[in-house]
Amino acid sequence: MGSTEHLLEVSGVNAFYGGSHVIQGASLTVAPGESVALLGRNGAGKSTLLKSLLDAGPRVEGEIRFGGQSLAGVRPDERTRKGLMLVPEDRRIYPDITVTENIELGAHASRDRDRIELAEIFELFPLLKPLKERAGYQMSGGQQQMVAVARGLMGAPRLLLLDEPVEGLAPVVVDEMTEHIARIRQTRSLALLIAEQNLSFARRCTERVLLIDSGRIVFDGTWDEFDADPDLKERYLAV
Amino acid sequence: MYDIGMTVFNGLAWAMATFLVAAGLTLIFGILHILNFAHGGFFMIGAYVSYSIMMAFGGSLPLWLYLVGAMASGIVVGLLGWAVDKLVFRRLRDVEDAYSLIATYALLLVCGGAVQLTWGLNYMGVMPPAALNTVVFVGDMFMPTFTIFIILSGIVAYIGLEFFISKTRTGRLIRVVAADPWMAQLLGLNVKKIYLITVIFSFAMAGAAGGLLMPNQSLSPELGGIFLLQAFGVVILGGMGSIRGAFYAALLLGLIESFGTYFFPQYPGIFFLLALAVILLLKPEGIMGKGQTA
Repeated sequence: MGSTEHLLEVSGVNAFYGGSHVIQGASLTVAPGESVALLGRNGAGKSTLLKSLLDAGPRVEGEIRFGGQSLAGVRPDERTRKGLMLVPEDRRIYPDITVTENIELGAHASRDRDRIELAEIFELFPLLKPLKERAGYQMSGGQQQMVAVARGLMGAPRLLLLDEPVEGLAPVVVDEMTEHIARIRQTRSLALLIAEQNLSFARRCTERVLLIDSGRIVFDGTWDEFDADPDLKERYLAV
Repeated sequence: MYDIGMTVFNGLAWAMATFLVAAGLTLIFGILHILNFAHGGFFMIGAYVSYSIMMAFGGSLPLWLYLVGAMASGIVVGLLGWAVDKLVFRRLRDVEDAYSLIATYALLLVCGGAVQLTWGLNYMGVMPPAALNTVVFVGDMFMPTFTIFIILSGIVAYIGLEFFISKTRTGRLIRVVAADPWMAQLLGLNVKKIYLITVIFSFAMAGAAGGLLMPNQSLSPELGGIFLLQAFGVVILGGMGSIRGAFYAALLLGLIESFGTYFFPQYPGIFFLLALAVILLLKPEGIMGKGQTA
């Protein structure tokens, strides 16, 4: 496959927090419109890898290309404006402004691309409609997570990185999130890279699996290939 | 009645003069989390720049020149803020607080040195503009128009700042960056640019405050330190970073200082410090609580 066909191309990336070498030579690709799961245990390096893609935390070495261009020397905010958005694990909703204002903040990233209208966001997340004027701090974890994903979408991403989007959510809310993601993929042409520990959620939202363990990508394949080797699950995901 | 009225009036004058200096200080702390010791120094430079503008126009201070001079000082010091952000503040963002303190204290020394080199060591004094150099009588109280003008300037500055921070687009983005700069950059906001705007704006306020408060002060290279101490008191008591808190803290401390000096005229300037110490012992996070910028 030629490199022009990839939306994201990561090769030999290392990431460090101080002296600790968290991501060790990770390489991966995501094609336009593709949805990929990044599975691994706590501390395997999922969050660090996603943050590395935006240069938002760890010190990063190695090559990251997005949309055919190298991201070397590109600031985090400039990366978002190229269409690379991260919804972080801790959601980071601004507590003192409303849901609508929180979501609108995402539009700063969409400046140079096809904008997405606020109305369209609320069509995708009907559950947020009655909460438009509610302050960030007045929401449940599930609601905050939806606002965080909606805010990410508001940036009209070409690749949306979701860091454990259903962590700590009730099963019924996980189902809602699954439906939302399916609906987003039908209406917007975007790629997803979802870091998860929840296997059934990841399975329903993605076509391909990356396994990460101790900062290394140890498996890259389809769900069928993943299922064909039960040892993988035992070795890299069992607690 | 006379005494109480005049004491309140003096307290308000202290409060608003101090607030004019403290506003920029608390804004920079609230947004950049840098405690800018040099703030008083740039306030002082603003006063000297205004003085030089006045001298360039023949040494008298008509009202229009006073106002234009204060504005010009704001612009000059705002530009200095641009340079300070690029050269100093930008390097302080990811280091420990101690480095910030050392760096901004050094900057204060640089300000003092620059003033001495440019304007000399002599004390200089300027009368308020003639139009403000009158007295208003209310009952048997006489209130200098210039002092009334300073009190009104402080109130206008406070209302303007509150409006800017809570109602304008730029103000909202400043609050967002202050609350969580890491997330702000991941939403496409240019955090460095917003910091730069904040620094220029805060410095411009310090410069304009210098120009406004220049008359009736003895202009000397020590001017920076005097106001800085009061402004720090107000910023700390108001809850670091809170403009509203700084405003109310200035009022509170101004009135305490004024009444203290009225009852114990032999101890001017003591009550502000005493009140600061006592209130912080009782409420270490300041009168407005913590963590709010606005």
